[in-house]
Parts: sequence; C-alpha cells; structure tokens
Amino acid sequence: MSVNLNTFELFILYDIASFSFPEREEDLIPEIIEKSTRLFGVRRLALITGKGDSQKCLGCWGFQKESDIWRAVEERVDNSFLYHLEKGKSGLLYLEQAFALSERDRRLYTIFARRIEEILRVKRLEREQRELEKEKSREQRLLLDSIPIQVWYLKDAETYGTANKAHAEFLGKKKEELENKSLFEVTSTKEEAMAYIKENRRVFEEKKQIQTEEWVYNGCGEKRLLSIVRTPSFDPHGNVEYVICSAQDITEQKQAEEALRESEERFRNIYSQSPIGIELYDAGGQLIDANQACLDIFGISDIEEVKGFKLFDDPNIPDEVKKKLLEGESVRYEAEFDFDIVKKMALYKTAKSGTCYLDCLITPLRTNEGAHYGFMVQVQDITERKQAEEQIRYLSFYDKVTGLYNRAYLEEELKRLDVKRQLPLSIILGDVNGLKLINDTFGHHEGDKLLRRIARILKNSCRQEDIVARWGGDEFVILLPQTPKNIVIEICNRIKEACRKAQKDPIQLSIALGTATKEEPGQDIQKILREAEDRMYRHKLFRSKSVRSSIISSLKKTLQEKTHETEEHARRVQELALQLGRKLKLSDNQLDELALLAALHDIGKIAIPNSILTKQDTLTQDEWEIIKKHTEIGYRIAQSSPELAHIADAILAHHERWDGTGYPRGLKGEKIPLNSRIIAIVDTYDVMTRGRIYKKAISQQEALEELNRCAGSQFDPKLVKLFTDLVSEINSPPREMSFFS
Amino acid sequence: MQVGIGYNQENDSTLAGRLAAEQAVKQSGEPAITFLFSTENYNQKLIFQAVKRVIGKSKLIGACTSGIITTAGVLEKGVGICTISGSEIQAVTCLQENITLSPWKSGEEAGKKLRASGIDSGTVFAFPDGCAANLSELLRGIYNVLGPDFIYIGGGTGHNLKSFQTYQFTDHGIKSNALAIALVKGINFQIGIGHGWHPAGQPMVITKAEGKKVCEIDGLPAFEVYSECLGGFDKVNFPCYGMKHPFAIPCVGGNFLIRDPLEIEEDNSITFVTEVPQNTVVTLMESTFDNLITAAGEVAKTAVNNVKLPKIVFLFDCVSRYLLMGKEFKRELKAVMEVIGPDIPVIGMLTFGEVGTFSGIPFFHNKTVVVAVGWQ
Repeated sequence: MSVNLNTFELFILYDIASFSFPEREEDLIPEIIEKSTRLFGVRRLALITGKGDSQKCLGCWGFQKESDIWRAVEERVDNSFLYHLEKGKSGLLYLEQAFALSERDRRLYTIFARRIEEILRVKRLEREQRELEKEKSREQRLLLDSIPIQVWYLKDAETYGTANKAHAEFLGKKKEELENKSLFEVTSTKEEAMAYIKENRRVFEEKKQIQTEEWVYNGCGEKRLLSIVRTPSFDPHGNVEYVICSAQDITEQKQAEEALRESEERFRNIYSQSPIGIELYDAGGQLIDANQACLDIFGISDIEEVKGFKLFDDPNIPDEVKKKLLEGESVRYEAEFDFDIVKKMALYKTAKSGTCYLDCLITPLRTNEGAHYGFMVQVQDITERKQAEEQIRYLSFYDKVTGLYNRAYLEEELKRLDVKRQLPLSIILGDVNGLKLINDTFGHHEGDKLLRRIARILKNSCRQEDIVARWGGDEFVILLPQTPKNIVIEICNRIKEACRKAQKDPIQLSIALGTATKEEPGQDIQKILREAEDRMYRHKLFRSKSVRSSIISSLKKTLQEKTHETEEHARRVQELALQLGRKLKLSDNQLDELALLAALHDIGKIAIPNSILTKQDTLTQDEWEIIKKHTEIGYRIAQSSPELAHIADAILAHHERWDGTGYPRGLKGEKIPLNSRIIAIVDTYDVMTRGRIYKKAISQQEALEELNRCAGSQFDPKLVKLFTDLVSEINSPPREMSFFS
Repeated sequence: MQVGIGYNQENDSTLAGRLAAEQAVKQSGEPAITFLFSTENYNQKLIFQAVKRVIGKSKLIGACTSGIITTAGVLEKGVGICTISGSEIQAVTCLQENITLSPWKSGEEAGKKLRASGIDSGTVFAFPDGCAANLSELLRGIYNVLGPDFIYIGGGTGHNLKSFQTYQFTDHGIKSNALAIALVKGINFQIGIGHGWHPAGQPMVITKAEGKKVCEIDGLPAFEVYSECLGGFDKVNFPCYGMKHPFAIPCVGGNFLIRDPLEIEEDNSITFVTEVPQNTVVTLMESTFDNLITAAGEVAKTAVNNVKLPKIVFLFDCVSRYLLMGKEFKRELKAVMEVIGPDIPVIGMLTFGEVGTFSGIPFFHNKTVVVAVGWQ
C-alpha cells in the first residue's frame, strides 16, 4: 500500500461521498457496483428495494440467478454485509467480499450503505414528488380536458406546444395531431394560418396579454366566433418564452346578444311609440323614465322636468291604491286626475289644467328571483271614453229627444216603486195628438220639438218625486208614488191647462191622458198600467175628430197667415168650383168633395218656408222644387185625417197639366182627377182676376182668354170651355159665393 | 502439461507466423491452447492463417501488440507463440464482437458463451481491444456471469500510439473492436500485479466525465486542474507531463488503479486511456524509474511466490511504461526475469491497459505490470 490506511480511508470516504444522483434508482446500480467492487473488492452484491411482499431486486452483481440472492441474504456468511435501508422500510443492501469482514470493513460498508440509503431516500422523495406532480399534472390535464374552454400554448407565433381536448375537438383533430405542429399543418388554408399567426406575433412582439374576437373555421367547416385571450410567459431575460391561449366559442352568445339588442331596440321602440303612457319607477318609487305618450297625457314637455318625481307623493293616486302597491300588489283603477292639484302642489310643470279621466295599471316589478326593483305604471287618458260612457249611461236611462227618462228606466222604477210603502201608486199615461201630422207635414224635427214642449209641460206639471218618462213614440208615462186619485186629477188638469195656454206653433198642443191608481198591495201593477192606457185611448177616441178638426183648422189658419191668401179667396174659389161642378152635373157627394178640395188644396204650403212662398223675385230651380212639394205634403196631411183622406189624391194632382207636363206625377188628360182639373181652372182664374202681391189683377176677359190659350195644354179644354161659358153666363160683377160650411 | 514458446521476426507474415508456431509446437506438442501475439507491423490475417495451419485444432487466443515480451527483451516486430498441451487442459475461446456498443452486455454474452462450455473453474484470459470503450464495464459484465470462481488476466490489445488499428484473435477469427477471451482449465495461475506509482497530491473528484474523457475536476476544467497540480504548463507540453504524471483512483486493499492521460482536447478536457468514472476520487501519481522497476520485481515475486514448479509465465506490461522508460525498460524486464529465473518459459506483450484482479475482482489497469505464473 502506497498510503497509510487512514489516509486511504479518507480516499474511500471521499469516493463514497461523491455518489451521483441519477435520474432513476436503477441508474444507481452501475455506480454501486463500480464503487463497491473497486473500493471494497465486493465480489457479489444485491440491492433490494421495497418491503415485505413488494420487495424486488433493483440490481445485483455476481449472482447467477435471483434465488442465489435470497439464499445468500438468508445464509449471511461471515464475508457478507447486510444493511436494512431505512430500518427495513425501503429494502436492503447485500455486499459480499472474498474474506471475512473486519470492523473497519463493517464501518466502511455501513457508511457506504448509508450513503446509498440517503440517495434512495432522496430518490424516493423525488419519486413521490414526481408522482405527486404527475398526478397533479394528470389532474391538471384532466381538468384542462374537462373544461369546455379551449386552451393551448404556442412555442412561437407559428407553432403549437400542446392543446387541451376542447381545442383539438374544435379543430376536428386529436390532441396529438396538434402537439408541436405548425399552424400551417393544422389549419385548412394558408390564409387561416396567417390570420392566427398575425395575432400570435402581436403577443410575442408587444409582450402583453391581448384579447381578440376572431371568426375562424372549426373542424366541420363552420365559421365560428371565438373570444381568444393570448397571455405571454416570460423567461428570466424578459423575453416571451411561450404564449398561453384560451378561447371560448361565443357565436351563439353574440347572436343572442344581437337578438337581445334587437329585442331591446324593438322594446324601446314599442315603449317609446306606445300609445299607452308608460312610467318606470325604482324600488323607492322615484321616476326613472317615461315614454312620450305618458308625457303627452300629463302635458309634460321634457322628461327631465319630472325625473325624480315620487310615485307615492302623487295626490291623484288613491290612498288605498298606494297601500296595495306597498304590499306588493298590482293595482288597476280608473280615477279622475286633477291637474290643478299638481300645479298647486308644484309637483312638476304641466301644460294641462282641469281634470281628465285616467285608466291606470301600476305593477310592482320583480326579478326572476322575486326581488322587487321598481314599479311600472301604464296610463291611458279615458276622458272621452268616460264621457261616452256617461252618454251611453245617460242614453240608457234618458230619452234623447225629450230629456225625460226612457222606458227602460221607467220599467225599473216601476218595479222599485211597486211596494207597499209607495201606495197609493198612480200612473198617468199620455198620448200626444197630431204628432204624425206634424212629422208628415213639417218633418220630424218639428215633431221632436212638439214632443219636447209636451215633455216640459209634463215635467213642470209634476212634483219632484214623480217619475216622468217617454214611453215611446208619442206616449208618455208618469209614475206618482204615494199619490191618491184626487191629486192625479189635479195634475192632469194642470197639464191640459198648460197645453191649452201653450202657443200654437204650428198647432195647438194636445195630449190625451189616462190615469189609474194602485191602492192595494195585491193589485197587479201591469193591470193598473193597462187600465191607464185604456182610459187614455178612450179619451183620445172621443176627442179624436174634434182634435183632428182643430189641428186642421189650426193648419189652415196658419197657412192663411203665411201665404196671405184670404178667406174670401177661399170662398170664391169654392163657389166657382161648385158652379162649375153643377154645370157638370156632379152629385152632391162630388160637390162636397169639390168644396172641401177648394178649401184645402193648398194645405201643403204650410210646410213651405215663408221666404219662398212670399218671394217676389223669380224663384230659383231649387226653390221651385220646394214649392212643388206642397202637393205631396198636402196629400199626406189629407191622408192623416179620415175626414180628408178622400180628397188626398185631388190635392196631390191639383197642379197636374192636361198635357202631362204637370207635377208631381205627370198625369195627363182625364187621368187627372176631375176635381183637380176644376180647381186648377178656378183657382187660376181667381188669382188672375184678383191679383197677388207680386202680380196685378187682370180683367175677366183677359183671364178667360188666358185660360183658353192654355186650354189643351195646362187645362182641360172642355172644362175651360164650360168655365168660359159659365163666366159668360154670369158675366156680371162677381157675386158672393156660398161657402161650404 | 507441456509448454512451447516460439518467436519469429521474419518480414513475411506467413513465414513468421508459421515458423513461430512450429517452434512452439515442437516444444509442446499438439497444443490444447495457443497464445498468439503479433506486432502490428504484420499482415495479421496471414499470420493467423499460418499459425492456424500449424496448431491444428488447438484453441487459439491472441492479440496484436506493439511489442512482444520475450526473455530476450521486447520485440517491436515479430510473432510470439505460446502453446500449451496436456490432456487435462480444457479450453474454450470466444471472440465477442462490437464490444464498444454495449460493453457490459458484451461481457455478459462472452461470459455466457464461456460458461456454456461447462468449465466451472480456471483462468480467464481476456484480450479486449484496448481502444474500445469502457473496458472496466466489459470486465464487470464478464464477471457478472462467471463470478469469483475464476482468475482473470490479460491485457488490452493496442498500438504504440502511432497507429490506431489493433486486432484480437481466437480460433474463430480476427476482429477489431472485439474481445478475444479464453477460459482455460487444467493450469493454475498465480497473479502478481502492481505499478510502482505513488499519490502525489490531494484527493480530487471527477465532477464531470464522459467515457474516457474527463471534462471537469472539482468543478473546474480538467486540464486547468491538472496543469495547476503540476505547477502549470502549456497544452503543447502535455505529452511530456502526461506520461509521467498519471491519475489514480482508489481501489480495494489500499491500491490505486492508474489512469493514464492520453491527450488534451480543445475544451480543456483530458482523454484517458481507460474510463475514469464520474464522481470518482482521483489523485495525481508520480514515480521514478527505480520505483517502477522495483514494483515490477515485486509483482514478479508475488506471482512466483510459493509456486513450486512453474511451467509458464505470462507477462503483460503496459506500453506506456515501455515508452516512458525507453531504454530503462530493459531493467524492468530484467527485474522480472531475475525473479522468475531463466528456466521458465516467458511470453508476454506490451499491453494497452492490463487485466488483473485485486481481491479476485478483475479490473482494467493502466501503467501496470501483470505477471501470471502458471503451473499444473
């Protein structure tokens, strides 16, 4: 030996301390063999790792077969050394040399074994750490592969590192097909790759995170919108070492956002253009927004003037409504809105005043989770509708023409008053006389006027508690609760007196009345009503003729006043007509008809405006047409009275011409009633010989010559001949005609 | 057992081989095992063929060498044959090819082939290609199969640093980058091994090594450390220093395995003749010729010690000792021969690394003398 033992031992110890730390435990074996054989002359060795049944031979040297190892370990010859690593927990080291072990050998072997033990322990910790990291890495990979977000990293602007499952699947590839691949290899087109690379380069150059939204093609060839975040990772020198990318497919989200935006825009349009006023309040009831319709309803010119207005400060909202709102209920109500209160309280500036009627729906607003976040008010101005409703309500109970209650109301009142405490319950039923005649003669407006005058008389004649109603047509009903018969008669007399005193315009007011009284609870009120009706009809019938005569006399008088035609003219015409009739040897009945016709043939002029009747200038075409209508009006007046009906046709035809060019029907020749032909001649002769305001009188001769001139055209020639002879016969100053009385 | 030794220095390869073989066979008779050493300046194939024709069925093992050691000295050109005959001699050979590729596995395969012969004890003669990689690993592979029941001796076949092609022989053929290995039973051998070098510095650690190339020592470039240890010198002067100041790694029994630095690389790493494992402690060695020669004599004594009737002596001496000592090498040989004596046949070669055992474990040595004395 060239050095002493102790020095040499230092060499050995130094050599032992210089063990390497290879990557794997197995890689330690060659070094163990080299050192142990060289330093100690070990001729056989074995390194067993593990414990119990899991023990395995990590490496050996000098043994022919593994069973030799276990035998040697068991036998433990004197020249062998056995060390239990970590007290047997992690295995054992068997060393065998040629000669028996000395203490020095044991000591050095122990140091050697402990060194190996330490290395193995470190290796084990490293392994456990690696496995932990591997597990962690596996978990991270599983996690990355489980998430729907695409994740990949780039080694450089053009080259993938690795990618997760989501990204690979998006591209229609497997993860392995992307690993370390160029983008040109992965994408379908060069342009696609260049687009990716362009953004990738930005990150490498700008060295900061960049987020983009890019339209890319997926593995199925569909164009999808990706939100991509590229985050650089730096090396110790501050250069970008690699870039981590993450992406989410936001195609549907973008479409949804677009749809939402469009929906919001539609909603905004609906909101702003809605004819219904909409107000939005926050949870505290403070106004956030209102649409134009709302501003118009409340007369507000600028929304800014009213923002911040508090819903619960509105005095026009009823308290019970506010209470319900605070309790979370929706409330709909109709109420009057007073602008004057708004102005008085200076709540906001409004251009409106007075009141209007509003239909309001106030709804508390809630999130899907039920949290309250505001109120929405929908308001409509229903003033016109309310007025219409009032109108309808009014019309449902009131007669439009007279303003009295209508039949529907009366029937309801009849039921209501038909109770014991209202007895005696009296009924007056009235029928206006001459309404049809007036309607036919003057038109319905005059008829309505007649009805209104009657209605006023009835109303004024009754007491406050009496129910005066128009039953229908020309009939009226008065309910008199708690009214005995004697009071009823007094009222009836008041009515008649009032009618008598009323001005004739155009006729005398006349109403037939019938009364009845329910005195006992058991009596049927409908029977009482019918009783009153019967009495009314009896009265009407009894008085009908005189009433009609009175009406017609009234009309005649009015006509005379209007047309200035005197009673004398009427008598003369009647006389001449009768004389001509006698000459024609008419019967007495015919002569009676002729006389009546002579008196009433122009009765229809009662309905012609005075302005036309008395016009001195030439009439216009329209005025002539109006004038011509008097024949038809006269016809209708005659038809309305049984006593005059038989002369109605003659009245109608008294302006027909022999040659058929007359009016109203253009009758010709003898189709024109004889009486009409006679009256035409006689009336014309008298007018010519007596004159009018607008025309001077002419002599009899001239009149006769005129008649003869018009014979065959205007007048019946035979009758003209006869009349001419008649006049010639009498040819004396006109004598007084006897009147038909 | 009969031993025959033959040498020839004819220029003609075939002739040299034949005559050397005939000379040996004449002494031994039909050999059971033939050892062939030829210098590199012959046509090895022709020599091989010529010898084969002479030795017949004998197992053959041999090596190309830079010098054949004879009792007369070192033959830098020649063919040396040793034939051993005897009915008790059992021999098996193996020419394991491509040992650089996987030295351990190559060693195991060679060992398996030898073990397959059924010979369960004896002496293993191993002549690997000295230029091949990791011969220590190769030996460990062989040992892993054969185990401690054999004696291991031999040497790396090599060159004189002038050419880099060397050959290994067995009766199976001639190869390079191979291991010629023979297992011989029926002859006992006693080994002596030693070198005469002494530690000259403090221990250092090879912190980075790649095969035969040591890159760093104690974390610093190898040449820098080496140079500093020797007082500093330029790379151009390395051959002078390297020859005289090898490294050594500690070995069992207080011994040191010498590691011979061969050349300096561009990156200041040092290539050695044999691998220096990373994480090994090394120390600088020095010696004098006298020490070297004395050590050689001691080696011979160890080998010869108590051997009553030695029949053959194999001598494997490192070529670098020959190159270092130059003319003084004769003294080393003389020191060995004086111990062995004139009557015992001696043959050997200048080796490119030596195979020998400490405590029964074969190691690959540098700058070492191995003497094996055989008897029956």
